Amino acid sequence: MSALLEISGLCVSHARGTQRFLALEQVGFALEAGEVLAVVGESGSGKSTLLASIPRLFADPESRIEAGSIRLAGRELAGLPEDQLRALRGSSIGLVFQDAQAALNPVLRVGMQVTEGLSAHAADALALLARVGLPEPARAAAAYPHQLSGGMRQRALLALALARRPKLLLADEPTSALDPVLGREILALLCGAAEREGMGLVLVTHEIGLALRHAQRVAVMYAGRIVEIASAAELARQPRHPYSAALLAADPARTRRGERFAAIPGSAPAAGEHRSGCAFAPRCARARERCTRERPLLESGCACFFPLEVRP
Amino acid sequence: MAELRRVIGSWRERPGLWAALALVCALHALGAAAPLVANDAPLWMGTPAGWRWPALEQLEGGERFVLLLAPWILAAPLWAASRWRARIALGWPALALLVALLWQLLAGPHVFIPAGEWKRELGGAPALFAPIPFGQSETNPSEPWRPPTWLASSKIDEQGRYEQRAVPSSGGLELPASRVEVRAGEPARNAPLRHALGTDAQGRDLFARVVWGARNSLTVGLASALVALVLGTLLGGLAGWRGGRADVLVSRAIELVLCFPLLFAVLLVMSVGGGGSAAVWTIALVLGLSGWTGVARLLRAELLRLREAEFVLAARGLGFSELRIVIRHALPNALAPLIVATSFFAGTAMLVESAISYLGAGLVEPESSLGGLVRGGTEHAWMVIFPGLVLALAVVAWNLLGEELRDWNDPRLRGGGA
Ligand SMILES: Nc1ncnc2c1ncn2[C@@H]1O[C@H](COP(=O)(O)OP(=O)(O)O)[C@@H](O)[C@H]1O
Ligand code: SF4
Ligand SMILES: [Mg+2]
Repeated sequence: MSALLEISGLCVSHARGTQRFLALEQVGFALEAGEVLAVVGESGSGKSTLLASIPRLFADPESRIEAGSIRLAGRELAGLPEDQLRALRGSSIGLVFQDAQAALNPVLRVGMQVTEGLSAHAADALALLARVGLPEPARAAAAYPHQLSGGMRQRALLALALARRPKLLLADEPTSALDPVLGREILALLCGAAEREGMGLVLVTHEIGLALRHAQRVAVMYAGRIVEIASAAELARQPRHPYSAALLAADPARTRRGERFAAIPGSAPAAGEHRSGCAFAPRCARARERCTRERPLLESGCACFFPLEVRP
Repeated sequence: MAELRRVIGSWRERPGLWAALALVCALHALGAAAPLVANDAPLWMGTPAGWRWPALEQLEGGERFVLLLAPWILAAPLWAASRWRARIALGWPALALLVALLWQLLAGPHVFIPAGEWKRELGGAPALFAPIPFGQSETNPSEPWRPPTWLASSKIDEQGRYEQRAVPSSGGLELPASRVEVRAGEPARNAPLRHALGTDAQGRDLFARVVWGARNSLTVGLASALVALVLGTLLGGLAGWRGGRADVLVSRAIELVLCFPLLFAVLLVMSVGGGGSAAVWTIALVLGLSGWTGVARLLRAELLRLREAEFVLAARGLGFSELRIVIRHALPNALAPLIVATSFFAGTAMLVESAISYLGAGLVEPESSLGGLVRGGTEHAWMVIFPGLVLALAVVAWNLLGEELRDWNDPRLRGGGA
């Protein structure tokens, strides 16, 4: 049986003025139903672009998929006509946005937004809102988004995405607008719902700690590429790509007492900055001459010529 | 009862909005009910042959429908705050249309009844008259240029001479020599409310003319605002949402229309032959056709902003069609400027109509508008003041309503919890 979501060789370009640049290069991974895959990386590494390219819902209409394939339950999405893709949005692919304040319509009541477009028997706003753990669903349903607290709004947004029972859920930093405790609660809810209903969940975050806690597998992105993809347990135990290792070392939550928290030196390459060789080379302590000449490809889960050793 | 308490509660929350709405609705209801408010024909009379309803019998089909809408308009502040507003908003007009059609079917088309005929023929027959028992075109030559009858200076003796010998504000008018002719249904010779706003040169009651004139002015304002709203929404929506070529085309069209002076456009059309009985609608249409640009420009700007909004992207993510996203998600967020622009335009249109009437290119006598009344009454203060006041009131009411609606439309400005 094929995976729920299979992406391979995906290249996506954005427009900047009259120029175009690749924001995603040769991205590929597979996701099983019921699985949670976290995508981590510094901001600007292309995580949002990756999520947007699946339902082909770019903020900028100029953005486009240049190459590659996106298969949802065996069906190719990359070349699908817009109207057929639209039929999949919402019903097969659910989206959870980062900023619920902006993603909810300010002038429509929450209950109305949650049930909009649903068939009559599915359109039970109270049940849908109760499912995401809203304490007073009736009050929330009658409220306008600005009348709810940040956490309640995020739950409402979650209810919106879950209402149509999509097979695949895409969440772009769903908790980075919330405080950490609330964020953890919402993430637990999201992952719990995905597991319970057998949905696949792609969870984008820039906090590797969150990714390791909530996901089964983690993909690490750098400058538009996946540099390492591994199970959360493996990655936590022994990252192989120097960038993953640096990310883990820079995670304040994982820094043990007494140990120094290590920021990654240098900064990520600017969008569209042309480079040969490994994009991480300027910041990599292990870089050698070959790294600036050749580009490492993702092989058995890691894109590096000189990966860190796997401890026996 | 509980519902009534709820409605009054919501009035208390936004007294300004409800006051403005009540004022606009009261004015429009008055206009719609004009045949029952000021009429020379009795509302009811008992002739030996049976009962008759002259005021109603002379209404045309459209007027019957508008009359049936009057209570709906008057009660709008009540039902707009109630839980059944959706049902009432559509149900009542549908019912009114049905009743008007049945009325047409059962009673047949309207009867033409010459002004004043009933009053002379009535004699002693029992009859019920409108609160203002004068028609807009009913003349009474025995009372030309009579000031408001609650003024001491307007008192007339048995012979029809002013008791004070001269009307102070009349600039030394010739005194009426004939006896005042008090006809059936009319207040007594010197009753304070005989001509509460005075009369004009032909002895036409000014109050009746203000009521009917306001009806025409308000019609022009509302109808042209609706035309502007519909046209502006369609074209502005197209430009703002589609962008590209549609935007360029609409923007050029807006500039073109803006270059063409509004007043001149109406004068041109009226002189080419838009007058006659349909003049009200001609003026409204021309004003609407040139007034849509304000609405269109605002909506275009709003949609250009909204189509980038994240909730629009989120709505796309839910698989909604583009049309649904515009209508259900984007438009409600752009409503505030539309509402304000439309209400302001309703006020402006009434003023422009007044200017047209003032220039003498407006409605044809005996039809008049508030502006036309001001023009026709320059000889006497009372003939300028009263229609002018009503015109100012109507314009201010519409502008107030626009502002209050704008605040109310923005839930962030809406007070209270859910
Ligand atoms: N609509 C766009 N137009 C042009 N450049 C964009 C657009 N969206 C994102 N980018 C650029 O593409 C790169 C990837 O962005 P993004 O996918 O948002 O990264 P992330 O979500 O990981 O922060 C960034 O360099 C960003 O500046
Ligand atoms: S390929 Fe070379 S530069 Fe790139 S991460 Fe591996 S060691 Fe570092
Ligand atoms: Mg992002």
